[in-house]
Amino acid sequence: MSSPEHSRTTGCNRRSFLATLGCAGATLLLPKSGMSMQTAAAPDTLLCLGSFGHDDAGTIHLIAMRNGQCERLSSTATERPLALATHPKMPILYVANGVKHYRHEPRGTVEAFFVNAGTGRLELLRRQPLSLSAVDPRALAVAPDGRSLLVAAFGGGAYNILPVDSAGVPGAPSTILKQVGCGADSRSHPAAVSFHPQEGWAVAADFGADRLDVLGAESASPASCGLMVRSRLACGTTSGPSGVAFHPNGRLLVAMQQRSPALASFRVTRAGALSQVREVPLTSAPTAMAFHPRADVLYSSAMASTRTSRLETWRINPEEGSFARRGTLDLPVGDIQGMACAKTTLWLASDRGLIAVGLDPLSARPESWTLAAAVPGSSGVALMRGS
Amino acid sequence: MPLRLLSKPLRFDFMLAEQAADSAAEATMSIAITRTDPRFDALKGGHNLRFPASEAEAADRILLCSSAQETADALRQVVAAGLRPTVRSGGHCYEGFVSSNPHGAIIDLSLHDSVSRDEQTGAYCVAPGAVLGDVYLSLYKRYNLTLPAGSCFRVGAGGHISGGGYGLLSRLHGLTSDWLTAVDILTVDADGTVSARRVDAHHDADLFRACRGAGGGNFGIITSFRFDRLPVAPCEVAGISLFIPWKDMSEDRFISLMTTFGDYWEGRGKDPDTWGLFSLLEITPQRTGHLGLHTQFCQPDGSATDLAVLDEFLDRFAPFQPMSMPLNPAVPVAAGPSGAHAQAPLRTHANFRPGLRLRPWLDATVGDSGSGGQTRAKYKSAYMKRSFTPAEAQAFYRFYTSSDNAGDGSVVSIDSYGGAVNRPDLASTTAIAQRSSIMKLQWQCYWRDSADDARHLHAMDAFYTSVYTGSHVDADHQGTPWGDRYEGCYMNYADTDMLRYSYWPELFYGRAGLYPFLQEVKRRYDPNNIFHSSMSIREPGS
Repeated sequence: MSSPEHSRTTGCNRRSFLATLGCAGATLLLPKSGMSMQTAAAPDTLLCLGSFGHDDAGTIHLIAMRNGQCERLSSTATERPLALATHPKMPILYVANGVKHYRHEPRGTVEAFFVNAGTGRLELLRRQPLSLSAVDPRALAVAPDGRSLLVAAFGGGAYNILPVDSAGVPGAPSTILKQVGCGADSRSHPAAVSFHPQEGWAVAADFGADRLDVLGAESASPASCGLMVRSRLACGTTSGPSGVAFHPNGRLLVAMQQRSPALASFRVTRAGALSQVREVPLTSAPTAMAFHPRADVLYSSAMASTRTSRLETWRINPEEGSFARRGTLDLPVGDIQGMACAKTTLWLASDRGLIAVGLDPLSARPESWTLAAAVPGSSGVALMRGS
Repeated sequence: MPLRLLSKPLRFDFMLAEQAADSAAEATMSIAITRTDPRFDALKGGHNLRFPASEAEAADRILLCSSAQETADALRQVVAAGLRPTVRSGGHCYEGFVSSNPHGAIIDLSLHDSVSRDEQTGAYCVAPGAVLGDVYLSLYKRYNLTLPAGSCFRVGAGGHISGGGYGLLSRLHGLTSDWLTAVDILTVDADGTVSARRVDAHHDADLFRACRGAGGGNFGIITSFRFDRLPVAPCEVAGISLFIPWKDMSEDRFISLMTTFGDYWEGRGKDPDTWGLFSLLEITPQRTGHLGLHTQFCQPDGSATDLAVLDEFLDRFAPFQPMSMPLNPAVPVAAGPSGAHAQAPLRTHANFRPGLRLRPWLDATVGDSGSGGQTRAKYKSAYMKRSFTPAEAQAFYRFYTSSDNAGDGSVVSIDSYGGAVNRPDLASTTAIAQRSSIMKLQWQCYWRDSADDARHLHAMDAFYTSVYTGSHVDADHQGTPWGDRYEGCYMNYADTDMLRYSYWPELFYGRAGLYPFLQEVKRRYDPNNIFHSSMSIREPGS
């Protein structure tokens, strides 16, 4: 998960950083694999990396880790991939295209790709337009049952729920929630969404309105269209919440705040009630975060300087909601836009490319890191199921 | 429930008290029509049966409001529920801006249709749901006044006036929105509060200016149009419809006809003594047999005793041997030949009998009243500052004489404007940028069967593009009415085809800064973009 306005707050934008590196466009320095997936051993890890350059033209790279070696299996054209998510049960990748127009209308879109492990290629299933005015989608999340996709349209101030059919293909929005609200901004800017790992409701962060919204199904209200905002929690004026993540046990939520840099923890009930527990100030605006899938560990990143991100490791007490900093690692990789965590590796989408951070098997602390794939302008990373 | 305003100057307390009294007396709620209501199918769409394009595109509910209070309450509910509101008065939106609203709510103002006079201020007040025919009758009978508004009697005031409001008296009296002195409007603040505002030249002046021509579906919901003064209604008018036969109409002769019409408005038509003259040249397919020239005249004093100006104009068309017919008072002057307005689609019936029509009761009862009825339709527009070039006229001729019948069901109405519309000061005090034009063209096409959608839409687009392709149009803007001879397009003749041009805002709002102004008004009064369509005002950079 990534931050909506990071480049503005730090003064380091993507263009200047790439110019400094001497990179032009999204260039993958590692050769494309010539091996057929059918003849090669099954990969240890299969992941998707999104990137885009100065304009909206982007790429999704399908990357396999096999025996410690990284191979780019294929690259597929897309448009401004700001967020990636995977289906919980099928090899489907969803991409939020953070565009402001589609076929001349003010809409963002979501793409769905079938990840063909046999050919090592992504196959476009559908590019689905969002509702009118739902532009610049920057976050999406798949429901735990795989039957719906929740999209946050940052520019459009709206949430869309897209039904997902049995083949994993998203349909036209079945629910459209137009938001109002103002915090430091004069309008709503939905920036992040995350489904509760077990229940069917979700939490969304509104960067513009300085609040968290709990979204859940509501069938009783005549004004409802299938999903509604059950509750709203103010995060404090100028907090700028930009990311949310659930602890795997579903009892704790962490939100990252960008304008008043901090991590905030919230106790969560199964019914969707949130109550803030802690707030830990940070020295600079957080850009991405992820929970370890098994350990009570949270990782967060923030820019330490124009070329360096600081990766922080936090020990979480999920019952108390407290954090304790357990380590810091400075990475000369530029901005980190996305994270995905496996048991022994934390994957980072950074300005330099895909970073693999090796984790201690017991403590889950970062031990080492490598540039796994040099893809300038990486904007998001997603692990395929089973990785 | 009383309206809850933000902190406002004292003068608005009067409006609050007035509305509180009204709401106490009425104590009504809007009528909610949902998908299970038997009225839903008849009310889910407007007059253009292309929209909504499918059941999935239709709104989930229609809220019928009969007062400003009900409208405010309805809007509050809709916003609180996170729904998208679209707003309808008469239902004549040319595109799907209102009825294409999946999962949203249509706030229908057709029952909020009063025409009255404010006893305190003397202002004439027109509610948005009033249809033009009723407005004319009420203003005339009560006050001997009129609006220089359009000729389609069932068009609702809401969209018509907020988008400009052109009509047969506009050359003499300007646009309807030019006469506005205040507007009552509901806006949605950043935090979701619905605010009732009375905006005028001294209060929220920027929003007031925006509502004088760009107010349709952009900033809020207008609940009343207020006019301190209105023009006196003419006593009588002279009207005539002439029909010019297609027979023996060569290309050169046709070009001459179009340039004769255009030359008049570019020249003689600018003289003030001609401003009571309005004429509409109707270009229809060759197989209809005739072209139409429909004209109305009155002198500036509202009489029709001296018809010299009219005679002078009509004499110019004598070489084309027009056939005259008495003006049928039951048919509006601007109506085309009946063949251009196809009847409502026939639905299959088990015992099909030729001529049998099945349609909603509401449509059968009031649907065909002077506004083209309910058909599938496509519209386009262009403003012209100069007369026709031979190349333009040639494009018209070739389309309408084509043997492939591409023009079937279509008509281009060439309306005369200029005169009082072109007062220079109005460009800076209203949101109509086109203050130098002499003619406004409306492309129209009507058909029944959805299977013909692609054919008609393509034909209209190709025809329109051909008219504006050539050396008479700026090289970088081919296919659009851009350049010294034109002033772009009219938003109330909405045309989503124009979205494919990146400069579409300039086509509709001109190049003198109006669109950036409107963007700022949008940011200020509708920061969350509650009111939007595919052609609504967009934030900078979009």
